[in-house]
Amino acid sequence: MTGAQIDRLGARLRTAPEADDLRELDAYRATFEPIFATTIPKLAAELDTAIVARHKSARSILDKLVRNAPTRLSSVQDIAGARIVVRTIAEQDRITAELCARIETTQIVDRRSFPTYGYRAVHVLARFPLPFEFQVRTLAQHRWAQLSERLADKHGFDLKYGGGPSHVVAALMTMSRFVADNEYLQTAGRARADGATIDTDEAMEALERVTTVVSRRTGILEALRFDD
Amino acid sequence: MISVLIAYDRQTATTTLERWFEDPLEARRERLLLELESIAKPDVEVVLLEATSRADVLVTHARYFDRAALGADRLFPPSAKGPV
Repeated sequence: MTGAQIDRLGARLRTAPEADDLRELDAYRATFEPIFATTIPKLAAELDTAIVARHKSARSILDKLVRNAPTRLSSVQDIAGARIVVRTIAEQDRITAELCARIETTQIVDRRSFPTYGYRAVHVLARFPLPFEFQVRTLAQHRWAQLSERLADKHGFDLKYGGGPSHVVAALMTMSRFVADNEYLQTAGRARADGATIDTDEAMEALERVTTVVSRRTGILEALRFDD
Repeated sequence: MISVLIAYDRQTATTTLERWFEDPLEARRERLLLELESIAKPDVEVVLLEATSRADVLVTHARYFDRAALGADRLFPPSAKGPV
């Protein structure tokens, strides 16, 4: 498919997609198949890490085209992508560096220091030459992101961009800062005068505790119910 | 590589379909059929994941499979509707 054909398809998907448009979108996604079949398994073996690849769903593509209009379909970077979850910041840094050493990278987006409404992770935007997005998360960052996704299901996608009920946004921000502080203790704690350190298991246990406390105090527990 | 095809209802946070495949091409064909069925259902997301093992998928995309894996078992009371 040419770039113009892809963008015309994107325009149709944004308005009133029909069955033939979904079939054409499927054909476009099929052009990424060699990456899934060959490149990702090879990278997983070389990096000695689990990589789970995902095809962006038609629903997510449609939503993104509407939300970010007039974004062109050909410029959507995450039609295909993969997620890697590791235990520590050090491992996250290693995986990021090794990905960049092995593939042509267009951009590293480090959302650990500059989170997007609490979302913290490292994204590596690659070219094979088709665009491909790697999400590299620590377990704690991942736990937060999954909770955020669930809440966004309940309250709408705007929650990911600071919208939605203020108490839910505040709870997510509190938990995100807590994860960041724990990860600071994992990486920099040994350099502190008090020698405070924390390992991943301790950090995850602490995250569970703070999630419970924040939930009680903010009513996020109620916000997570799906039976109303 | 193995593939898993998921239909996820955002409105109820419920996984309504979960099918595992050893043939990725078959998984992609089934995905298209499911997407065509769901075209008029804006809350239904059809997800296709590929990995070397099922265990990896359960970690990286826990929200589709196991609420306990979220650490959210306390947050989703048993009486509440939610993913199995």
